[in-house]
Amino acid sequence: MTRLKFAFTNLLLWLLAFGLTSLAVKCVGDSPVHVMQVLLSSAFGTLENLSYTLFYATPMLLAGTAVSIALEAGLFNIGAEGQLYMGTVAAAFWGIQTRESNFFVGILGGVAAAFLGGAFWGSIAGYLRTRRHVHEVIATIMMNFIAMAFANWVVLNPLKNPETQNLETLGIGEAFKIPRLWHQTTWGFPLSLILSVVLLWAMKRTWWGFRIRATGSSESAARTAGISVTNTALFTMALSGGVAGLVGFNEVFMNSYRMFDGFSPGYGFTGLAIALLARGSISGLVMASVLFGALHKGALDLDLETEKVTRDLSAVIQALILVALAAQPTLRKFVDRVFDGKAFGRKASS
Amino acid sequence: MSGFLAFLLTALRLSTPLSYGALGGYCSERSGTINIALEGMMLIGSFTAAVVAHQTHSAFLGVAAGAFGGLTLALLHGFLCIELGSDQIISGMAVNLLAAGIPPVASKALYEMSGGTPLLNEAERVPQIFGVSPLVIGVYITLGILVFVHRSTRLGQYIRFAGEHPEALQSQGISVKRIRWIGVLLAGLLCGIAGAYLSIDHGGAFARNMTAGRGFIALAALIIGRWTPLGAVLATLTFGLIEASQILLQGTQTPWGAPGQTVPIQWIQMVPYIATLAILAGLVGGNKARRSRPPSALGRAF
Repeated sequence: MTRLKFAFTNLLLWLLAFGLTSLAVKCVGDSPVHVMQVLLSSAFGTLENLSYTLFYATPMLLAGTAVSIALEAGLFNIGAEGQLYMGTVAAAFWGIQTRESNFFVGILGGVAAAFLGGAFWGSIAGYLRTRRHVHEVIATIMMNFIAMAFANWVVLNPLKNPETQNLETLGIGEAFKIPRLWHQTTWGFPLSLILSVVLLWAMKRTWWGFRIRATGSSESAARTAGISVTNTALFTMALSGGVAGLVGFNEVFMNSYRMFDGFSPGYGFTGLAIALLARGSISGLVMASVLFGALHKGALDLDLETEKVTRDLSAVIQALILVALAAQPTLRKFVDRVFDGKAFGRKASS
Repeated sequence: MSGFLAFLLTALRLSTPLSYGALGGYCSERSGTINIALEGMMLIGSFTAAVVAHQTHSAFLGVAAGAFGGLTLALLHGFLCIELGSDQIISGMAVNLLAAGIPPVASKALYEMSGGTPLLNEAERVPQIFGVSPLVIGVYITLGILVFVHRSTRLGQYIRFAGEHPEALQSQGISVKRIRWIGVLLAGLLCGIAGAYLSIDHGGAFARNMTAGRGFIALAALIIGRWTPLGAVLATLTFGLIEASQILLQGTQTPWGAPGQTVPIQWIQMVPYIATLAILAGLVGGNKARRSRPPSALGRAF
């Protein structure tokens, strides 16, 4: 029953967001039905399109998992965007520096570099939060700006590809280029799926997962139980940042085989919406990631297929979903009332 | 000497949007509503201001439209936070994303442009009085009013109580929700003006993401200024100085590396964000007695 209510609440939430979107599309002077058709067919119309949807869902799933982990400890990691940029910088650096070495050195080092790059960035925010009392929201927002400027510098200066005008780094070693799994979809999709399942399982079944959740549920209770709240929060931010950083491995070793400036259309922020939608459930994470991936892919064709609406509409829809998410507790109450019959005048006691 | 004066004037100009934002943040946060939506309200304000100034050829209407734009998003933030009791950080993020998403869609529909607005001519921009914008002076008028309200009026007391101990305010028969609404709406208004300053006064058009985190820096300035209007504005003046020295850094030679090598622009861009974090970490993280303390009921729905 609870699950049904949860699903129903989320359904209501999407309906609300798309209702508001239709209104926005109408205001701009286009047909909402047509826009919706374009979104759907462009996201799921052909196998090729579907593979693109899953391709975009991959970094979103990783970012969503990263934000989810931090949420379990009661931390708002708005910095997934910066962390994934740092992970990508680190992965690109490794892939370029070791380009002559063999497959295993490149790949294993690449995974480690991506994770550590993100974890380093996350742990700075964790340090500021736990040792210097700077709220993690402010800290991670500032760290995002710093990371993006740093990544921009790295792409344009030390790692720049001198042969093109594109804002891109040199290519990584030929031996490390992992081919795509299926059309556009990379191996990153199944791998991040496994990672998410393992991590969310570990949150519920391991001692460190317990510590994280205990810290999130009640700091004072966790402290009484002998858990170091500050160390746990620091560890959580590092882990969360590391998972976000793995986006860089997917991007550099499985997709573009280099780093492009501004490769992320805001995966980190989408990750926040995904984590809030899923509320720690793995199926929720996967579904939300695929839906947001579909939204992003679908919106890419809006430029050509519609007269007035552009791909930027996906940002509006995403924002409206977040608005609906903020109102989620109210929606939930409404769903509860409908299920209990109170909305139809049934008394609570009977 | 005149170079130094020009430097100070630049700092004053650059601190203006931050000051409006921080004062807006004061109104909202002191009355108990977390407002990371300052950024979004500023951004939408700069968009509506530029559009209306361009359409009506009136800078005055432009500023009014900027304030109105900020107010609209404040209505949304207030509805979610105060009426529905939603999580205030999620609501703030939603407002920010909305403010980032709407301008590109609207600018395409209005001007066939991707995210910006057409360049304004001189008559459509805010006129300067002796080289100083009236909006810059407006900061200090607003500051004076808010300091007075904060220190010597009932409303100021109510605002502080709504953020520190809403139950006490309630028991006196004052509506906490109403006080919080006033705070959030004032924040929207002031941030909208800050946005208008960016697009039709300091700048000559709206550009994608033109606020570039100024709303968040304003919020940090509020914390650094110990949650008082005067302290917040002093902190934003410091940030103005930092931003102004950023401009001085451009094109300077690095003390290391090959001759002729200048400090990379990206490093200069990082300066305000690093400075924000460093000051926050140094000030907020100091010993307990000197720590900047947020209002106790901040973020708690009532």
